[in-house]
Amino acid sequence: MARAKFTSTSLVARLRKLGLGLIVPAILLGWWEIAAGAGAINTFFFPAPSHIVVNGVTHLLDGSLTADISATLLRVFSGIAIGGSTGYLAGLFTGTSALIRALFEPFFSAFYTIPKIAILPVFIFLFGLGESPVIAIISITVFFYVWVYTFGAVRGIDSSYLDVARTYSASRWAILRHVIIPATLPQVFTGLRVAVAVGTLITITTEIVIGDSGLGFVIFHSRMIMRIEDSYVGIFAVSILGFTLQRLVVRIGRWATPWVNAESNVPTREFR
Amino acid sequence: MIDARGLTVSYNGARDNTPALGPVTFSVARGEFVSFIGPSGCGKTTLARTVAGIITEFDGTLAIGDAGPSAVVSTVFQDYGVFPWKTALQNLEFPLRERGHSKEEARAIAHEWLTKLRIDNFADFYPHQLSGGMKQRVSIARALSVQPDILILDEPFASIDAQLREDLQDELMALQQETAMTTILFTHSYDEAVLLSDQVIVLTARPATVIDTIEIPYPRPRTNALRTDATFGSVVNSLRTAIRGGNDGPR
Ligand SMILES: Nc1ncnc2c1ncn2[C@@H]1O[C@H](COP(=O)(O)OP(=O)(O)OP(=O)(O)O)[C@@H](O)[C@H]1O
Ligand SMILES: [Mg+2]
Repeated sequence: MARAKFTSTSLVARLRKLGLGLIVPAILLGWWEIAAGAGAINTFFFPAPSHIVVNGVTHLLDGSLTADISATLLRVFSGIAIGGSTGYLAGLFTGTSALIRALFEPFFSAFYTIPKIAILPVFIFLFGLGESPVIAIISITVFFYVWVYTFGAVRGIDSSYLDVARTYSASRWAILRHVIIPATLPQVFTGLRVAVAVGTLITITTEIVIGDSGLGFVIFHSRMIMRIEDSYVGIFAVSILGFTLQRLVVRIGRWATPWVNAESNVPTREFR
Repeated sequence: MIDARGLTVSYNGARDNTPALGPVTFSVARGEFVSFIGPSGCGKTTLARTVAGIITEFDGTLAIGDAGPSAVVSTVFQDYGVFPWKTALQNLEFPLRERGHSKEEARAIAHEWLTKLRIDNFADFYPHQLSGGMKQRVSIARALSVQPDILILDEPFASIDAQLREDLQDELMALQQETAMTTILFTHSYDEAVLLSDQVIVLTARPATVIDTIEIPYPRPRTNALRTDATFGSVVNSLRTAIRGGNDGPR
């Protein structure tokens, strides 16, 4: 109702934003293209973007790139599903129970800062070779990001909302469902967005280190066999994938938290 | 209904050792409307939270009524306490469902109260789409919809324009007389206190203690005609004098 009123403005605003967002990459790629065409850079190590795109499309069509994208996506999604759900629950528990907080918070905080790739050998030892150690390391990475955001959000809930719920003698479950979960949702989605980005990163890194498929493998292996332009296809694909996944999380977040003042909802004037 | 003796509240980690409130002693009879007036920071919100059962650590005694611990207490907070993630309607439905009403009942009662407070057109709006006054009406509707035994109002009309404030005061007066809810109101407004209360309890600056209890002489049921009553101004003035005297001059 209130939204519909601004639809036309918001469409224009959205297109404008999209256009603005394309300017910087377009300039960078343009310079690169010109430099490559003019022979100013070594096109063996820096093939022209147009060349990379053509190459990428070829690999998309012959199915090889699609297979690697799906392999990476599958890992990212498994990691998000496992790490995201456990991280969220851990955040709720450590946030709401003083006992669980006292037990786990120091441990989690210490573990949080370990670069997970450093303990990859431990995972290989625990889970053997194959997909399991890869999924485990992605899940753990995502777990900590989602945990830390959820935990912070629960701890930061404005106590007046809890007071209101208590004066209406709401049960613990009702407080969780009607206050704690919705109050923390916006921040949880922020955490999820970071987790998706870092999760993609760790997936690619792991694929570089021990993979035999996926975009990380493409990037590394192509370089090893001196197919540099294929390596760039992998790099381009990763950035597009990361961008798309983050956008997806933001979209779902907006849909799930309609009370958060959507930027397109009110025409505001920005400070200059 | 409410009986407080030597009630003293300190917040943990308060920088000095002064309590935030008290000791205060007062009692409110069933069905009575009592207002508390006191300077900013004297502990009104603290007292509201204590009577509402949110603050549970205090010195002295606090007995909440014949209805015992099962007394239904509703609070309208100074900062509204309206949930931003629920629409106006959902804000009312939540406590109604908690009180055991079915989905349909809760919805019907919620609409009924939103209508009474003339915001039913905005039932499906989220608080960020409402004005401050509308949010406050949601908060009031929510507090009244559960038919509380005790209603606690912490400066409920502070951020509302004069016209609407008078309307809501009239509304509150009528509803309170109709349901005979025991009501305590924290306010800065002398007019509001005289218009609505049976008794006005005057508090000192922080930490609040009771300096005076003033009976408001008007019988019930009252109507908003009282505002223009010839004696109204002088009663308000005598209250003002009592408060100014007690708090050592103008603030
Ligand atoms: N959560 C808290 N922790 C520590 N001190 C607090 C807390 N809340 C309030 N206080 C202190 O308690 C005192 C009383 O505060 P309170 O909010 O009850 O005042 P008030 O009478 O409601 O003021 P106002 O009229 O401005 O709303 C103040 O000195 C305040 O600093
Ligand atoms: Mg206050």
